[in-house]
Amino acid sequence: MIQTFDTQLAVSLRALQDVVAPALKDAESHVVEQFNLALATLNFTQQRLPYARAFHRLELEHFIGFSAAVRDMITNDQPDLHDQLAELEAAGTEQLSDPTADIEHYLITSRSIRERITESLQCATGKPYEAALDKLAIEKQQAFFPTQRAWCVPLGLDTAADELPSLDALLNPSKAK
Amino acid sequence: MTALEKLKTSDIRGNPSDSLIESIRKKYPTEKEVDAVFTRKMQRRSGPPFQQITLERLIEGAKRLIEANLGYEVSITQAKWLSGGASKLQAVFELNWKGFDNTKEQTTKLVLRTEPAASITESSRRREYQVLKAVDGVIPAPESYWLDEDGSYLPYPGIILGFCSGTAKPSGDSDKVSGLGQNYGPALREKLAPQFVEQLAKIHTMEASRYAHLEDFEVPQIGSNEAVIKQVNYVRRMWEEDRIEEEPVMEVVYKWLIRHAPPIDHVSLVHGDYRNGNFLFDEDSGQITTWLDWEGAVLGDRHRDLTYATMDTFAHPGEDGKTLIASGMMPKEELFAAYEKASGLKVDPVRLAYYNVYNRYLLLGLIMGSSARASYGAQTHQDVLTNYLTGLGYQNLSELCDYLVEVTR
Repeated sequence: MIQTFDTQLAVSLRALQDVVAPALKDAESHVVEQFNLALATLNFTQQRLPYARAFHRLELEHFIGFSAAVRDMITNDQPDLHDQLAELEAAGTEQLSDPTADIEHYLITSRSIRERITESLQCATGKPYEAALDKLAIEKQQAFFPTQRAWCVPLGLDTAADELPSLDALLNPSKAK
Repeated sequence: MTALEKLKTSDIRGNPSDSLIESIRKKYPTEKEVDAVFTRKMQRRSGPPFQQITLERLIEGAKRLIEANLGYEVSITQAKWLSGGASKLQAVFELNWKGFDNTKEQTTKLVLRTEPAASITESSRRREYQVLKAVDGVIPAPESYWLDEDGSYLPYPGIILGFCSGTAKPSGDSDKVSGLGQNYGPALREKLAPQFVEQLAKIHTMEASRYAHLEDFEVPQIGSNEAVIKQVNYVRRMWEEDRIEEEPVMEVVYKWLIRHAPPIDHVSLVHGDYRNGNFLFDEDSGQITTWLDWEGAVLGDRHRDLTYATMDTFAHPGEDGKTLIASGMMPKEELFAAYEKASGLKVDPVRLAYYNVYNRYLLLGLIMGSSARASYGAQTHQDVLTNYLTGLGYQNLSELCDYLVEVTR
């Protein structure tokens, strides 16, 4: 049989925590710090690996929606960017319906959408719709930050982690109800 | 090609072309020395990843650097790695020498700071050397001895500083990464807080004659916002050159910062990273023994340090569980009042609002731009730390949006 990633990570973490860590108690502090950070990173990976596909799909869906809202505001003034965004939305939608698409495909598309949206914000400088477009960008991103923050919670750095929705609830809203 | 390889190939900043480097330089002008440092960073990015340097190699380089400056042979003993700091490779050692004039046998404890191929803050060793000369005798800071500005002797550019005793973290709360949210406790706080404020006031009101040391710093014009815009462009360049993925909010914030850049009303030496975790102190006496991490220093507006020191990221709740203690010192309003008294300079709410946005923008450039890039490219000795710190990004982005909405309402 082939062991799951969860088992691979679990055995590695157990060895590091139970065997290696006690042996490092007299080590130099920068060695201990790097060891602890490596453990924290592996723990994060173990906790988030099962959700990775769902998370990146949700992220791509978010940017497809964001892109469509931007296009509505730039139709006449930025025709080239409008068309590029439309193409990226179509590519992203196709990837979401493709069972063989990898997480990295989602990332490539959502990153391209991020770049084009930002270019659009630059091109809007001094235009009558600039303020509205800037406002849209802030609102759209503000709405998605809780999901990105929830993703990062296992790193233990978010001082308001208790106030964030659980990743389960964000990724599976119907089940959470 | 696997999907992962395709993703990596799509990163145009990983192996930047000359035209990309030039277009960013032209679009976002910064101070001359900053431009030189950032351009060098981009040109060497496509080089090999960081390779662990042995302590012996580092010390051998330090010995040659010192001997080249002194003109006579020295010996180095007691060398060991120094922990702490997210960006520089550091070692401590004892130098057995005969002083600058080659007369009296003596032993001096020194620190070597050198930079790997990339780091969380790309900075100039020349400027760090100069600023430490400028603040010598103004507030406690390491003495700067020798500089290897282009890595002629050391594996990377480096600086040799005097060793300063003290601790960055109190024994009761020593597990904070880089001093974030460091809580010193009420007894220590009472001793440290007045020094924290007075020393900030001292560097901000340092006499202009000391600027003569700052050869690679541009001196802002009072009444002009040109220097402020260059500082905004400093972050923008970092973001343009280092980011792994774009964040549209950063563009909105950039435009706001350029439009609202306030003219300088008083030129101050700005530390740039003035907060808990960046000074050493004597735990028994409660005296601050030295201020560290001067590499981000600029000549500019005092409100930049004031807002940085009072950012929530560096605060912790007080004993009542509610009041935030800025930089582990005091509530921010008390800190501002104490600063006005110590410096004789006004704390302007409009400039505070501006630099509150600026510092959040800066922090995001550092953690979601440079820090993410450094670990992505395996370019530092602290990749595991720079990678971990990117986890701070989205909370800070969220706070930045909330704050921008508030100030533009």
